[in-house]
Amino acid sequence: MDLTALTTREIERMSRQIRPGEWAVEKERPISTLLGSCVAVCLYDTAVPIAGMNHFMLPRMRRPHPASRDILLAGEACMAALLEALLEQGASKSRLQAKAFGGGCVVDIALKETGSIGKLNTDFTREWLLRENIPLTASDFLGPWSRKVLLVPPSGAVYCKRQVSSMINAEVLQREEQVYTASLRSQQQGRTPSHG
Amino acid sequence: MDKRYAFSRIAAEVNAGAMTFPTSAGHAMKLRSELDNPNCQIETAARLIRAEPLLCARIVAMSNAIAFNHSGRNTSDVHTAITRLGFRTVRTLAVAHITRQLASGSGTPGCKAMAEQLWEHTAHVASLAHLIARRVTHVDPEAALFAGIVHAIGGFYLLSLAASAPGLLAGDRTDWLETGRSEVGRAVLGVLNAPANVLEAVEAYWEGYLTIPPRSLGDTLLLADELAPVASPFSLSGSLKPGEDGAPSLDMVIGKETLTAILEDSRSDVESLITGLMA
Repeated sequence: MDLTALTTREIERMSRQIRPGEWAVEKERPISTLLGSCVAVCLYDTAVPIAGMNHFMLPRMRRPHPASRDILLAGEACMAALLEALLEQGASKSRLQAKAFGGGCVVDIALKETGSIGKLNTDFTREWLLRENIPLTASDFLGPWSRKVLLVPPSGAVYCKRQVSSMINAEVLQREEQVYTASLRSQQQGRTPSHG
Repeated sequence: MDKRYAFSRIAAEVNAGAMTFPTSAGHAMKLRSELDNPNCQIETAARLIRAEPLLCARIVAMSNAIAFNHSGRNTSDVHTAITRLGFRTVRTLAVAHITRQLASGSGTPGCKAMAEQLWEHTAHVASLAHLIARRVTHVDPEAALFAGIVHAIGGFYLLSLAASAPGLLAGDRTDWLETGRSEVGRAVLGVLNAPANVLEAVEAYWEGYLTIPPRSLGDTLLLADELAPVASPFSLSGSLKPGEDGAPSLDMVIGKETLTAILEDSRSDVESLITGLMA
């Protein structure tokens, strides 16, 4: 199927949607996600039509160690799981490139806290990609928006929509991320996040 | 006030032919129509431009911008300015004048300030779109300039109505951003008989999905809007400036360069276009 001929609405409709803490790898079907202060990293092989996306957050912990270390490991786990899934399905690490999005502040009243979480997530993303020697070819980080991201695996093309959320939508999004945060806090043993 | 209903009604009234232009935009409307005529003579265009001093000043200023002034010699002569710019750009500048004049009679100081900010935002978006078309997406730069000029035209029209219906601008802008700007904007662009490729680009801007890497005229416009350092008064992003904590950071690899490097390299080019449009 020629996905380049489709509108973004059609791509969004046929996409596999991932939620906080999840990742997906596909050869053809588009992958989508909705981000608040979380980050989504899209990894794609420049020679083979395969790509994947994850959606993670490193929530700020009130208690220092060892919980914060475990949360960092959760971010590491989410990135490592995406990378491993891609390699298992035929991608080559030396050909991988990344596009990353998110870290927004979607609710004004929580600007200070979500802002710092967004920064934490984007800094982690840059550091992880640098450490793994995977070039970051595009990024759209921070700002006062939620974002919808669509990844089209055969080409590695990404569509990113900065969204002005109504207060209700922003609160729904924030609640979803808080549920994810709570689940990470309960996984103090460093279990890997779920994947679709 | 049910704002979504009010915006739909405004769009319906425009579609029904109820839109009026301020008299100051009259010469620009006439000039624009004249330039649609393939037999238009340069002297006819110059005469119409001279009849409207503000438009005249803007066209001359734009012809001195780096992107058009390849000799580096400034001019104050309308005839030379038209020759430099070409009829297509003069036509775009006529539409820019109409757009700007739409909200010139906005009532309260608050509305006037919004109209000023919206024009400043428009000047940045149009200038960046012209640059991005040339250096990044390789689409028609003239069409990109035009799309930038008219991308927020619905907002100018809304401001022109604010004196008679102040409730339209009160409170939350979500209804405007989600439905109003596209309904009203589409109707006004129909009245202005905007070209099909520009309409398609503005529709892509309203839809909001930026392709990465950017390719189309719509991507060009959307990227210019996202990079513009002056936010539209209708947007929610005005509270964060570049460099502040949490301010947006957008970059991508374009060939062997980065978008940031291209923008830095072309800063004076873009600034001179902005100066021309702000004249």
